[in-house]
Amino acid sequence: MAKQTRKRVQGGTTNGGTGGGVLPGGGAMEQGTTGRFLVLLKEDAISEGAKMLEEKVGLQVARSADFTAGVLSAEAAGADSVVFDEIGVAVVRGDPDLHRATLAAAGEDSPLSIVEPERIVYALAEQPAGGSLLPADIPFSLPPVIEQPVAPVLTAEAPAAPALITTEYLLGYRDAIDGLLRHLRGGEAGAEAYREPAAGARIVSEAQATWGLQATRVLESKFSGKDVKVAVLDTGFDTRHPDFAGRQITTASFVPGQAVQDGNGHGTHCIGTALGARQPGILPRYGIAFGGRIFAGKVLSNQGSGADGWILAGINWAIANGCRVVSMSLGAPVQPGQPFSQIFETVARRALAKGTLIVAAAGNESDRRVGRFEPVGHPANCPSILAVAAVDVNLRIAFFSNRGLNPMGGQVDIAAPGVDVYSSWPMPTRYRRLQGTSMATPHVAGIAALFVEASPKASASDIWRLITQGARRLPLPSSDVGAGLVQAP
Amino acid sequence: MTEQSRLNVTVLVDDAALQRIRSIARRLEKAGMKVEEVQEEIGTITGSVPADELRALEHVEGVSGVEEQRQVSIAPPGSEVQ
Repeated sequence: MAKQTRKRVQGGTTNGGTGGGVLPGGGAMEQGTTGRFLVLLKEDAISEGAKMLEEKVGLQVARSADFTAGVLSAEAAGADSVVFDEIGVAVVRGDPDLHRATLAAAGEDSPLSIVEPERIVYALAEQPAGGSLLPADIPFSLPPVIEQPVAPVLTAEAPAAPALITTEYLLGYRDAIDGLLRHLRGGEAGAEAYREPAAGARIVSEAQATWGLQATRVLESKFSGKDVKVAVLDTGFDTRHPDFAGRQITTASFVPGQAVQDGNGHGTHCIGTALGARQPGILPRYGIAFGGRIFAGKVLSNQGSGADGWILAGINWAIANGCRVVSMSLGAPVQPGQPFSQIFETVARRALAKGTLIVAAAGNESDRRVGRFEPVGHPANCPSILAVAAVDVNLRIAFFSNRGLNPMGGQVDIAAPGVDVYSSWPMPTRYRRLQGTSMATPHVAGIAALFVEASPKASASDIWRLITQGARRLPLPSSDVGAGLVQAP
Repeated sequence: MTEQSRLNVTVLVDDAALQRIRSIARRLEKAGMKVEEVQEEIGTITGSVPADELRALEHVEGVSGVEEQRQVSIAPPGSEVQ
């Protein structure tokens, strides 16, 4: 296991009550903290931050950059503050109130941002032999409202708490919570209701907006992806759909002999999620980047198939037109151990360098209902393509969603709503509910457009980081959901 | 050469040769490839080649990779999962 970064156990104390390293300065010490404080320095202003600590707060500052191989001892240096240049964090001694007051006075442009007490971190005890904590074949169904903090204090000296956490324990825990939830909901709320995970007992219906837009906090966002060009490479688009009247739409077909008009429906559904209207003709709202510019590239035939060459032609077209986001709800299955395409990876890297982020579906070949797990497909398995998994309204992994089984880029990067997804469909049907990682992918693409509007100077790689860093953590393995559930800025 | 033995391929042009992608496409044609399209933004060339001449494309100067094109697909309309 040995995942700890440090191990500090003083005087046999196992509950962290007083902590160690009692330091002068006198601030009230929180439970399990060291009396030192961590100050986050802005990435591009570490030197300024260090200078401010010296001049404004009056600290003696040592810098890790001044020590060989970044290894240093603060005590040996005789300083009361150490700036770790590589990670942009300072560890400082002294009165926290003084530091906080200094920061508050520094204003928004300060190179210093967050101050928090340094915690005592303990080594996690070894797993009991043969006792896998979270076996892969257990269907994860801890409901999203449960954000149970894991007890942080587990030491070799402490009672062997982890040994008690068996599969049976977790299953029993899950069942109890499931039962409690059903009770709280007053029976079966059904798929029409979405339970806001962080807001206690609030149940939200889909009368006004789809559950996916609620779960990803799109409705609260002040961004619309205004004027951000988003390409959806799929089966085309029903350009006559009334919900898109008046929108700026650019189209191209890369399927020999077929017009852009969507004879399948899949493309119109994906474009609806990524770029649909704020106020569609008929509620609920289902679209995310309603201010974005629609680039509908047909790279899949009306029968739903396509070739690498058509997709590459579509990517090339999207980049040539200045699209910042390319959404690809398509793929081909790969075998366990099969490497990713070097060509698509190079293309994705070139796209990133030109400011274009490519998002692709992880694939639907799995069937978790019968214990079948398949790896992320092509081309989502390329390291430089953002791979999207699907979750349902209860934020459980969708039964079909592929898993990050292959190393070197075969990971899932993020998850998005992909079950019971309501969106546009070619007329006269107008709307349909579908499920698939195909439906999850345009959620991420639309939200990427919101991030582009929110951070107009950000590079495509920056947008990638903003998306993953802003994701809501889920109590699921990262091999299934990556960073978690995508969230709008 | 029969039609069945032709392979659809994607050719990746090396970073250092991106400016010369058009002339590389011409060299690929001389090496036996039928070029369908040159994607200048991403540095790829798509087309087809007789199966037994595939390896020859890799030796064209400025080419850093050749892959046979895959077929991608979505589920048929009406399927349980899309």
